[in-house]
Amino acid sequence: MNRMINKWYFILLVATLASVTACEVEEIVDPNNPSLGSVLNDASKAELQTLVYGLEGRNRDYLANAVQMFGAFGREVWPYFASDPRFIPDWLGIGRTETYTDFFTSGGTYVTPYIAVKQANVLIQSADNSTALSTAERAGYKGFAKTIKGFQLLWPLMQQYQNGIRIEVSDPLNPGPRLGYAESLAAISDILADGLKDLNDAGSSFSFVLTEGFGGFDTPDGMKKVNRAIAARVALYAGNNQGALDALAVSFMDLDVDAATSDKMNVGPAHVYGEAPDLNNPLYYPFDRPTSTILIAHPALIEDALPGDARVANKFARRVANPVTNNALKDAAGNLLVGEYQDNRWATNTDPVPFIRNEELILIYAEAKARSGQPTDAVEAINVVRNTWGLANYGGAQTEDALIDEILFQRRYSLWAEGGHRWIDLRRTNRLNSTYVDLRDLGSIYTQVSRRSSEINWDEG
Amino acid sequence: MNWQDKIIVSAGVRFDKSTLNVQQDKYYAFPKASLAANLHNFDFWSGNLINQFKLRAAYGETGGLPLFGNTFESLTSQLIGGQLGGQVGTRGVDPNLVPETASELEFGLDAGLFNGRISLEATYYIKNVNNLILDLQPAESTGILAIATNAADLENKGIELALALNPVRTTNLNWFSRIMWWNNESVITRLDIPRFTTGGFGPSLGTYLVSEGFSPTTIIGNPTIAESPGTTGRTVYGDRQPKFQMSFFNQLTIMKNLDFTFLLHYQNGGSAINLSALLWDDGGTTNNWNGDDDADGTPNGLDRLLAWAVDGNTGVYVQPADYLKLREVGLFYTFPKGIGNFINRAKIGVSANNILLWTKYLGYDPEASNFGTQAVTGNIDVTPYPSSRRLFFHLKLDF
Repeated sequence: MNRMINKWYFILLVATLASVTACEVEEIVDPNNPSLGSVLNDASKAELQTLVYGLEGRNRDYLANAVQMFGAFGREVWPYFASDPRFIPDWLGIGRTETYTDFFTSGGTYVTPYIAVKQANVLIQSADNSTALSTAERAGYKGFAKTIKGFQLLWPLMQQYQNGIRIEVSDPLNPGPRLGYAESLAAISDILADGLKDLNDAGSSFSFVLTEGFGGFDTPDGMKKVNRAIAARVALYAGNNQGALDALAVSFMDLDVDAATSDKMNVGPAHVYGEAPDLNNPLYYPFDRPTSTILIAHPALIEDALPGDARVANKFARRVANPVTNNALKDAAGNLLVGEYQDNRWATNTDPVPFIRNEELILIYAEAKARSGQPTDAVEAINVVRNTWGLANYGGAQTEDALIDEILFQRRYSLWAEGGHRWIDLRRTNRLNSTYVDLRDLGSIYTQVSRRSSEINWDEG
Repeated sequence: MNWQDKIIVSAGVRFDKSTLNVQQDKYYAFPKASLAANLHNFDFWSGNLINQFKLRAAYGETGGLPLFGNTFESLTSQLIGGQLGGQVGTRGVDPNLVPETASELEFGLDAGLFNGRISLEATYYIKNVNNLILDLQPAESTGILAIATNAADLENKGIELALALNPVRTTNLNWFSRIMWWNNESVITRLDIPRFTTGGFGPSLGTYLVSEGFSPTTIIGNPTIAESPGTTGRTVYGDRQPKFQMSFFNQLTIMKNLDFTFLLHYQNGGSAINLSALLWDDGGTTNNWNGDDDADGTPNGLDRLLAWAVDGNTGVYVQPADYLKLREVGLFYTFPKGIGNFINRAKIGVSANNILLWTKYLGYDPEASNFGTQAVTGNIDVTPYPSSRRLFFHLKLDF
C-alpha cells in the first residue's frame, strides 16, 4: 500500500514538473506612451498625423535660445535674467573672450534643433515604411519633413559656424562625419532641394493637417514656397546670389508692400503657441511689470534709429515704471546699465511667431541684387522696406559696400530678435567687430560657440 | 549535501526572465555554490582550546535589471495649436542590453575558542559587477541623448573581521563584547563609455568621477591639470570610501536585572564634499573661522574661501570625514518580580541614538548628505539635516 502511494506521488511530481515550468512573460512595450516601433513599422495615417504635429512642436523649440543667446552675441538684446548668474557674463563675454565646451545654456540652438531633425527623420522613415499611403501622399510627408529638417539644421550650423556640424545623423550609434561650414550649407541646400522634389510629386493636397501656423502654406504648392524661402536664406549665407534670387522667384516673396499694407511684411509660416499644456510664446513678457528676469532691447537700437521709423514703436516698449538692472551689467564708469525697453511685438503669450517672413525675403532679394551688380533693383527693394516703415527713399551711395551697410541697417531693425540675425549677418559680411557691435557692457564678441563634449567624446572614441 | 556535519556543500542555479529586459522572454542563469568544512568535527581534531573551526568558501551570481523605461523608445505627447503631437523621445535602446551580473567569491573562517567565550569570523571577498548598466551619451547631434548600455565592470575587494568576546560570565556580571572591522576597495576595471562626472554641482564645487582605473567614489574638482589622464583634466581630492570602519558593541548585565549596552562606530579615512563649510566661511560663521592655524595673519575661514574663489582650489572643501560616534546607548532595568496581581513582568529604561560625535570635520555631520544615501553620489554636504539624535524612554509591562 505504502509503495503504491509513493509511486503515485512520484508520477504526480513528474507530471507537475513537466507541465509547470515557469510563468509566461507577456512582452510589454512602454505602458505609458505609444512606442516608436509602431510608427516606424507600417504606420497608419493617424499615427503619421501625430508625428507631423510632433514635428511642428519640435520645430519651435529652438526659438527662445536663438533670440536670446544669438541676440546677446550680436547685442540685439541684453539678457537681464537674474535666474542664473551666468547669463550676463557668459553670454556677453564679460571677463572672457571665448566660449567653452558645453557653453552655458546653448543647447537650445544645438541639441534642440537636432531633436527636431530626429523627429523629421523618423517621419520620413515612417512614411517610407507605411503601406497606407499612395506615392503622392508619401511624397507630401517627406517633402514637409525635409523642409523642416533643412530649416532646423541651420541653427546648430549658425551656432558652430567654422566648427561645422554633422548632417547625417539618423543612426545614433553611427553618426556621419562633421562637415565644414560651406559643405554643411551645401548639404542643407541639397536636403531642401530634395524636399522640393518630393513636394513636386505630392499632388495638389497633403493627406495630413498642419496647424494654423502654416495657414496659406498647407498644400504642396504652399509648402514649396516655404521651402524656397528657406533655400533663399541658405543661398544668401553661402554667397550664392543667383541661387538666392532663383529661390525667391518661386517663394512667397511679395515686393508690393507699402505703409498701408505693412501687414504683408509679416506673411510667412509661423510657430503657434497656446495655453498649457501647449507652450507659451517664449518671447512674451507682460508689459512693465516688476521683474528681474526679462529680455531687454539693447539701447543702441533706440539711439541709432532714424527719426520716424515705425519699427521702433512697433517693437520696443519703454518700461516707464520698472526699468531693470543687474549688478553684472555695468558700464566702464562702473554705473549700472539700465534696461529700459522691452519687446513690444506680442500682445499675448499665445501670439504666433513667424519663422521666415516676407520682409526677410525682400531684404535677401535686395542683398543678392546688390551683390550681383544690380544696384537699382537693390535700392528699389530697400525702399519698399523703408517706405513701409515711414522712412524716405534711400539716398546714399550705390556702391556694393554702401548698399550692404544699408541693408544690414535695415535688417537690424526689420529682423530684430527673430533668431539672432544681427550676429549672423555681421559675421558673414566680415563686420563682426566693435564698429558694428556696441560693447558698452565691456563684454566681448564671440564668433562661434565651442563644440559640445558629447561630440568631442564621440569623435575621440 | 551534508557529510556528517564535516563537509557541507550546496549548489544551485537560478533562471530569471523579466519584462524589464530588452529580451523579455529570455532566461538568464545565475549559479551559486558554497563549500564549508567543519574541521573540529574531524577525528584528527584534538584539544579543547579551539572547539569550533570552520573553513568556508562561497560563490554566487545575481542579476541587476535595467531600469524601467530604459528599454523603451517612446513617443511623448505635446499639444500644439490644440492638436496632439507625438514627439520622438531622446532615449535610445541598445538591442544587446543584458542584465548586469554581480558575482561574489568569498573565503572565510569561523573559529570558537574557550567554549564559545571567544569567537572569530573572518571573510575576504571579491565582488565583481560585470556589464554594469550605465547611460552612453551618443553625439547629441543624433537627437538621442542617452542609451542604457552594458558599459563597465566594477571590482570590489574587502575584508570583514568580527571578534565576539565574553570575558566575564558570572552570576552578577555578564559582559559580552563584539568588535567588527571592515573595509572595501572598489575600482572600475572597464569603462566603454567616455569617462564622466556625476553628482554635486559641477567640478568647481566638487563632483564624482567615473573613469577606468579609479574608484567610482573618487572626488575631483578644480583646478584643471593639463597632464591628468583619466580624470577629465581635474584634480583628484579624495575618495568617499573610508580606509576602514570599526564598530565596538558592548552589553553588560549587572546583577541580572540591569542591562547596559553601547555601540561605538569609527570611520577612518574617506572624504566628503563640504559645501556647508563654504557657505559658513562666506558668512564668517565656521567654527574655526577666526583661528589662524598657518599663522599667516589671515584667518582660517578667509584662507579657505580665497583658496577656493581666487585660486580655484576645490580641495579646501573636500574634507576628511573621519569620525567616532556613540551610535547607540541604552540602560534598562527589569524588575525581579511582578507588580501586584496583574503585571507579571516590568521593565523600564532609557536609550539614545547618535548621541555623541567626535570629529574634526567642519559640517554638522560627516555622514549626512543632501542627496540621501546613494551608491555613488552621497556625502555632498550643503547644510543638510544631520543624522537625527533620538532619545527614548522605555516602559514595558507584561500582563
